[in-house]
Amino acid sequence: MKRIFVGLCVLMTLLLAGCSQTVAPLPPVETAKIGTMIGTLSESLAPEKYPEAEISRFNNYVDESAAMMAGKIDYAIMDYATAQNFIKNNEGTTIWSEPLTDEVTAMALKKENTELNQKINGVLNRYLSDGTVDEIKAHWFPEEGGAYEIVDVPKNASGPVLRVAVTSLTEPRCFVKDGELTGMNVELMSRIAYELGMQVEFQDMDFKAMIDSLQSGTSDVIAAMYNTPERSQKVDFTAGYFPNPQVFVVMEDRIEATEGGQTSQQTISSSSDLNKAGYIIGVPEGTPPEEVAKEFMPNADISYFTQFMDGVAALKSGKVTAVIYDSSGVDRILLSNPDLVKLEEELGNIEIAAVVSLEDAKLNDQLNTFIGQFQADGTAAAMVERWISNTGGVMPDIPKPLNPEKKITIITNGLTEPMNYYENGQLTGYDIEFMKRFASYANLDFEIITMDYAAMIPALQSGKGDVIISDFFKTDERGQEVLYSDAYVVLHNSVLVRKSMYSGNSENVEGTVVTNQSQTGTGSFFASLQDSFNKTFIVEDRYKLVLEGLWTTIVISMLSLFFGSFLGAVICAMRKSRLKIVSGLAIVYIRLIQGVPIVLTLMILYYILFASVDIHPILIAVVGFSINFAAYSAEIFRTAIDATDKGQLEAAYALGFTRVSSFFKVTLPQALRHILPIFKGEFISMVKMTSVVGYIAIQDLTKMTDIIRSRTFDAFFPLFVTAFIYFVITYLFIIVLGKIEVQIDPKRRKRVVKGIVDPEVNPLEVTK
Amino acid sequence: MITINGLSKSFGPLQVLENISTEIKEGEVISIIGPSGCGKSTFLRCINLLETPTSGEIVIDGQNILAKNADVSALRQKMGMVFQSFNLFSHLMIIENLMLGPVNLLKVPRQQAYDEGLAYLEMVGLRSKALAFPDELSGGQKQRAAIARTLAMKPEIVLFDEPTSALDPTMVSEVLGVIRKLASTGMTMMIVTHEMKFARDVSSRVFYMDEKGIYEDGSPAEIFDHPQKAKTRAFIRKISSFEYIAAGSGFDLYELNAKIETFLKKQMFTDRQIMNVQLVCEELILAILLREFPKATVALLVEYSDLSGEVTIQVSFDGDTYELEKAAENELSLAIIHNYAKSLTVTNEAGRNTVKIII
Repeated sequence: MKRIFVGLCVLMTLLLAGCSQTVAPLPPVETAKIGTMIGTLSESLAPEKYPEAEISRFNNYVDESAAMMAGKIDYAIMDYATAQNFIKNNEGTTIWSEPLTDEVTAMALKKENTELNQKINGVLNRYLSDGTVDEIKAHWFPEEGGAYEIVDVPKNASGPVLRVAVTSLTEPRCFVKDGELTGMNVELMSRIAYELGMQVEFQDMDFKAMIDSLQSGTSDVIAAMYNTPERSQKVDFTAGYFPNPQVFVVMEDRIEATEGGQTSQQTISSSSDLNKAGYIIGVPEGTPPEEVAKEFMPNADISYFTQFMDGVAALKSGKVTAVIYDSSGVDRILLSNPDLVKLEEELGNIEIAAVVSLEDAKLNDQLNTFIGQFQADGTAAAMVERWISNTGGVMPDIPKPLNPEKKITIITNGLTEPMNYYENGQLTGYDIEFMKRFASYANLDFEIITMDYAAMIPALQSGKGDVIISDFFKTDERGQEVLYSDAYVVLHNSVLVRKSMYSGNSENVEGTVVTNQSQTGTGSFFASLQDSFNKTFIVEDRYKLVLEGLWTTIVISMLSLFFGSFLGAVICAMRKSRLKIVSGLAIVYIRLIQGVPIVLTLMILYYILFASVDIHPILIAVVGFSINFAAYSAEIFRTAIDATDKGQLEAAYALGFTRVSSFFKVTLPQALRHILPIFKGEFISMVKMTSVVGYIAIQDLTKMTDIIRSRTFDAFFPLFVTAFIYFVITYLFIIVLGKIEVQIDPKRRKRVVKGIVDPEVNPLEVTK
Repeated sequence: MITINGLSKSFGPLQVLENISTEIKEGEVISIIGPSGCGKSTFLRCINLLETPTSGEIVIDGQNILAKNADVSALRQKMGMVFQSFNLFSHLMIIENLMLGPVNLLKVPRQQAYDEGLAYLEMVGLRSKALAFPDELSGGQKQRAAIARTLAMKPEIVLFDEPTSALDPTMVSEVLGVIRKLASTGMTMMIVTHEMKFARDVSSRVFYMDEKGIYEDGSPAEIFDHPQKAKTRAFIRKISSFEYIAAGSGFDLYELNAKIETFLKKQMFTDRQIMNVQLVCEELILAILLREFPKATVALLVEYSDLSGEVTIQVSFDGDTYELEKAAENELSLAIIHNYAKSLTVTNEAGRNTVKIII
């Protein structure tokens, strides 16, 4: 029993701990959900002060505070006294603000009842001046941790009755303890009644009923009510005896959750500000920026990206707090993203080097000699000036060698402005100029293939490329696997943060923004949309890139559909073979292909099986998607064939058809009707799956979008557009396949027998 | 035309047909009858090799079709088959169902196949449905279309596998009418059927199949009017029976009564009818025979014929001729028996008395 209890406690603690991790930060009060109490000043004040906020009104404090604890409201407005009591009893809540109002509690009486009012006021004023009120207050608002001091107030056994309206939900002023009403107001009213020679009778009621009760003569006095001008037209107030302003009460943990963001907004100005738990630093994996993050910001979490643009998108959408990258890329990003800022300090150097495989020391020597030479003769400095220090660099004319010794394949990323990027459909940038110059120096012909950073080293090792020249950061770790040349340019680690979180030298910020040409002053949403459209499609004829990628996607899809279906039919035939070994092979094939992600199938094909074969990556993609599609279509075919009527097959045999011709004359036409609807879905999902071919250096629609994003630094628009293009092509495919589906439905077929002339039979006359 | 020698078929350990030998001559119309599960359909399907026989030989036009090099498809073209469940090709119109075989297998020109197909449809009364799809036809129409499809291949023999079993009773006659018409043209046919009257009218020869083979083979008159073997007779007359041996006067009367009740309940007898039978048995065995011969072992056979609706009670025991009705002390019991019985006969053969009462 005890063990179970302990277990439950642990479980609860874990659950609570789990909950506390997902505490939502407090929204700004201007737009938050605010709870107010009916009949308090805050009820009218809150909507006035915070017109954007969502105001909920509660009849009593209990409901209001429950709503706040449950997260239904963000801020609960209550009077100071209630708030004090509330936070005392509810750990994890706190008073959040300065007093919102300057309300004072008084007693209220019916207008005509001036005589009683004077009497009560007389006693009250005396109490106020001789410190009795303070004494009573001290009974009910003890020092922290103290208990209420309950005083026995003498009572008159006879005399007129003073009926006092109270509400018992306002501890410590009036509440029920041990079944009896007690509290500050109760003590005060009892004392006054005693002084006036009256008996006292407390009437516990809802707050909003009090004035009615007074007017109708059911009650003589309301013990505690704020004196508002509106109310004083209906009732008379005594002197105020208890200042009790309205304050916000909130959950403490939500403040903490909010302050994490708030303080940072104020304080990020250097890398040390980023060294804080809860911050997430985006870096490319296994690179100097990662080391910087680990060294300077050990308390922060690290998030990895492979494409710099992905890191920027994460930063812009708030998924990471900062991104560390080389200074050239960071500077370029700032041009088109006025909402981002670079921290002033630069955290160590990044050496950019060429990479060759371990076996290719000769090429590495050539590179090193060339690097030494081109740095010595000032070419390097000129290139830095052209590409990195300034924008809009133009590639100088560097002729290819006329009689090249041999041809090498150079791997680059193509998405990393200003080092290597597409302009007008051509690769350009510092890296490209470097490789051209190197090729010219070493008398080599070369071709360039582009791929993700993550894929470069495997490509190099599998022999797909000879050298990586792609803004590649030199790291010790990778030095084991590949050979690095000497650095051909040295950049710095720079930290990029959102401007809204930045508090450094504002001159720097302004200076950066001034150089921004494109995005400032976008008046309306449509203007910015048009701007995005222009950048994505029109500038540099980028729509050609999109069309090229689209064409690649369609070619891969259609060829894979064709070969995949054919292979699927073969696999299906094998699967249905009566030879156990043959059908077993088919089953193994299907399970294997279905069980391996298509990306891995493609990579295995590209890097291992076809590694040493000079074959266009698109063909490899077609092979990959065909064998993948075959596995699925084979199963679709099989279920459809199994679903056709065996009796009809027997009838065909009995007529004298062989097994094969029975299949084609009877089973297939019927199976096709079962196949197409599922087949359609499978094909569509394959079309969308082709978006992973970027892994094996194919520039399909998705990859082209990446290329464009890497230039425009417009993180989102190209994504939406690409999604839309995919939607359109899959929709078109669905329409086409749907037409075929209708064609082979016998019920929708024209009732004409092919090649027959029969004047007697009119198809229209045939009825059901 | 077809000679079958020692044909056997088993499904795994279950032997269905055992050593069947027979000969089918041209122009014969053979009905195959017999209880459910006796292998009628399997026998038919073995003939055109939809089921492969386990052993034996089938010789058609001098060619053993079970030989390894036999051209099964060519053989099947000569043998039409009509199925219980029609098996029309659902993706083709009726006329296309008829044309599929001739055009693809017999290489008949499409137009000719079409015209001939229409003629066959006319014959089965479905010309107007030529351009309909199978699922637009009623069951009877489908089966007639299936017959026409079989005929379109101009077979030498047509095998019918329970052609009316899947039909509504109202549609049975239209299909039987077509088969009858076909029989009158002299087509060789084998029909597995449960329609006894039809089998008797249309066929020239009847196989009664039981005990894994052709149990009795004869003309309709022989099989239906004078069946030679007990099981044939029981089947033709739709007789079911029940046996009980009462050993001496101390036998368990209540057990007997309970068994009679169970047996007759199965035949849908009312409680009153069951009581009558029980009463007659009790009087006959207990009050008459076992009183006279307390030590005799009396064998009781109760038979019910669905055809005549009669219950036959037959008791037999060893002993000299016993003049049942002459014994005066039997008067009361006999009066009770006569009250219910249509007839009562007593015979003595080879020292065994048999009393037969028909109710």
